[in-house]
Amino acid sequence: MKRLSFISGLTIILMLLLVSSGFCIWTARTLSGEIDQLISANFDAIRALRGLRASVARIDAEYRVATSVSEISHARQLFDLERKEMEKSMAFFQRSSDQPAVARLQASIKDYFTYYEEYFALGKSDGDRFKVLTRSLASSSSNIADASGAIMDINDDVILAHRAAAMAKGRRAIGIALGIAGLSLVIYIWTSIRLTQGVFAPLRQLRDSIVKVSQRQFDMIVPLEGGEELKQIATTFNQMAAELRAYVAESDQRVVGANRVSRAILEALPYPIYIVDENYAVRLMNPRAEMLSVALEIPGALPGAVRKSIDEAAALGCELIDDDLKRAIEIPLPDAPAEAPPTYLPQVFRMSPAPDASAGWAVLLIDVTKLRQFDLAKTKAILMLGHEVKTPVTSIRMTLHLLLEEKIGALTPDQRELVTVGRDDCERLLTVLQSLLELARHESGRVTMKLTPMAPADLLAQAEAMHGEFVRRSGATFAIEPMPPALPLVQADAIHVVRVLGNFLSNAAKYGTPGVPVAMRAELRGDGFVRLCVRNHSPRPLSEAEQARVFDPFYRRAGENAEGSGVGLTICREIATAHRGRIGVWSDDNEVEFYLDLRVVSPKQIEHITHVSGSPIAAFSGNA
Amino acid sequence: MSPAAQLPLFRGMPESGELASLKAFPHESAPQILVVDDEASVRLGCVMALRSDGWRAVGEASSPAALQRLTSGNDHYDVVVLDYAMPELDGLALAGVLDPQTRPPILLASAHADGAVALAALRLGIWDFQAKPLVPDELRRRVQRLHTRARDAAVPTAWMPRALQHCQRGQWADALMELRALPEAERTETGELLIGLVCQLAGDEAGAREAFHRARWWPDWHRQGGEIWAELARRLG
Repeated sequence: MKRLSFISGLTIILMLLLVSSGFCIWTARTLSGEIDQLISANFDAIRALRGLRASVARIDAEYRVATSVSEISHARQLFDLERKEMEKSMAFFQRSSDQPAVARLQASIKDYFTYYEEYFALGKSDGDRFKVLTRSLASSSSNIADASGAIMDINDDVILAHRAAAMAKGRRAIGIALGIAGLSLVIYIWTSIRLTQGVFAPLRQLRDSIVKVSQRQFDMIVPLEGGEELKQIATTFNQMAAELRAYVAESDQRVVGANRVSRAILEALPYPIYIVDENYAVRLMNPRAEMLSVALEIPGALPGAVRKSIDEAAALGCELIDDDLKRAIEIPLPDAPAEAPPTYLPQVFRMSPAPDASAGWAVLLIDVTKLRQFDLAKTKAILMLGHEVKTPVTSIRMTLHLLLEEKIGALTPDQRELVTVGRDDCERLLTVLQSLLELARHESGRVTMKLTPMAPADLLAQAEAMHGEFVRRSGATFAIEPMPPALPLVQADAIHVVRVLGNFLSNAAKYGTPGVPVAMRAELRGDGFVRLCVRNHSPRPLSEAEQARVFDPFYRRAGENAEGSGVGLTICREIATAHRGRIGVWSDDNEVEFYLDLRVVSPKQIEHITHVSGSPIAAFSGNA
Repeated sequence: MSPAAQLPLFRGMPESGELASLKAFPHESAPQILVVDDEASVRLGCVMALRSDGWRAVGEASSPAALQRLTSGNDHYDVVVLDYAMPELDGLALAGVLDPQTRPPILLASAHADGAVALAALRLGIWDFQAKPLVPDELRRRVQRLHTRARDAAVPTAWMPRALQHCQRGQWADALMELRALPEAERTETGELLIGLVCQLAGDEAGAREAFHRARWWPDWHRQGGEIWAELARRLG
């Protein structure tokens, strides 16, 4: 369509240009023909007239000065010649003899010739006739000159008139040419506008459609206009929009479906779930959570104990997803038995509760009331048994020590051997008992961690101060390796971390190659942890299977005598868990390294702690 | 009746008058020690350990009875070995009744000392601690040290025993003066630890922090009783 109008527009312009050129050429040719005709006609007439006048002048001059017979004869000859010339010139005017001036000229020339014939017949003699003839000749010559002049004037007039006509024609031709050019220009502009509109209108529509699509309105269709390429683009675009429309509809359905499923799960789940924003305002909760809040007489709000768990996650900068019963919270409900209050293990996830909320949390409260009761009963039983057994074992030990001193009485060699075996077993029993009690205290959560920002160097120095001597006494050399400068502060309970390092050191002293240095060091890990580790050379490195089990309670390596309680590393693992840290061991062909990874304190946490409690890190930070 | 007495091992053991059956090693002029513990077996062990080393040791099962003995004025005791966990009146309650200026030096024995107990004991001037389970030699060494402290304190350079004597009587300012008599450069880590503890008890938190720092010890009062005791005992020898 557009192409047709473009071609038709161009054709019209071309035709107009052709017409205009043809007209101009025709006008030019007409004018030049007219001018040529005019010029040639007038030029011949003027030349003939000039010839006439010259002949008259020559005849007159020749004859008037001729005095002798020979001179007259010569003048006669000249006259004849000139007469012929003059008659030839007069023949030119023959066609226009109807004009008065030409008629007058012809009459004058005829008179002139007649007078001269008579003149030559008379010869040169004075007489009246001669005088009359002379006057008549003079008059004829003068008439010829006058008539010639009149004809010339006529010629001038004709030339001027033709010139004016030619100029008028020329002007008209220019006007017509300009008009056609103007018309061409108008047609050109009109065609261009039509053409431009034809190209840009579909593009504009395409652009509008893209904007709509970006605003998630997929129902606008681009019309199939413009050139083939534009049509292709429009078709492709419409296809894309249709696919998007289908996809969005499908996604919407899916979202709705997923939402229904999520809601169904949330509602069917037997555990309360709260989804809160940063300010603990509840954005979403399931029926169980609603029931719990109502039972606590705080409908629609988050229980205070749960809030503490979120605070803990925020302080640690991580989610709390584990089965660590130590984190369980008791929520005493009015109608619940006081000896077994409902206990929940909060699982705290990061979650944005709504598009307008920057961050928030989801808390799933797993009901661990029964599990907690069992766990408490187990711990209570262990602790009670431990205490009840410990006292008699203590006194048995005292007794055996006293007997072996032989201050009360001498022993026979057999008695001594028996009592020694008894004392050693008693020592072991006490060690195991104490460790078991400690493990039970850790597992029951009775040992609380007080996490404060600590410099890793301080922790190592403290461990060296407390346990270095023991390592050196065992015969190993011991050193803290140089540390990278500016290690960040870590979240640590110094007492328990030093305890863990002490355990590592004691293992290194016990199982390391005697005389080979034991090294302790701190290093920054890439994932937000600082690693504190103890490395030693070992004659019996740990296999991978052993590395995996070495932290299990009462685990002993094959062929290893039962030294130690068997739960030291298990307690270390409990401590690491309470720090939300990591604990582990690696071993190669001849070295063993135990490590404890502690979380780096974020600047935000330092700011928070300093703001809340003054200056917690000032105490020992200068020790590094 | 204590739970331990119900165990078969101790069935039939006399609750009182058991000392009569023991052979009396010590001389009449030997220093006299009172062992107060409701656990018969532990009490017997302590008495035996001390008597076998030449001390005159007497056991007492009940804390009110022990209080009676200590306040009656009939007997003189050079050192008291006092169990913390006892029915009726616990070790600290018993010590609290006694006049710190005149009472004999006390060695507190306990299996589980938490921070509150440690702090309360130090406030009462009980600076000597024996962790249970007991080993005869350790017990003897600590009793010996308590017994000779007054004599040791008479030596002009013995600033530590003198300071501890002040501590026993709750005289914190005097104790600090003794402890700080030495220039900083010559003080041992034990001296710094004592300064820290005294500052803490006197309420000088900053002074305590500084002294603990020099002592390379970072105590936590509220959780660390047993370890504070153990460290103090370790450094005092």
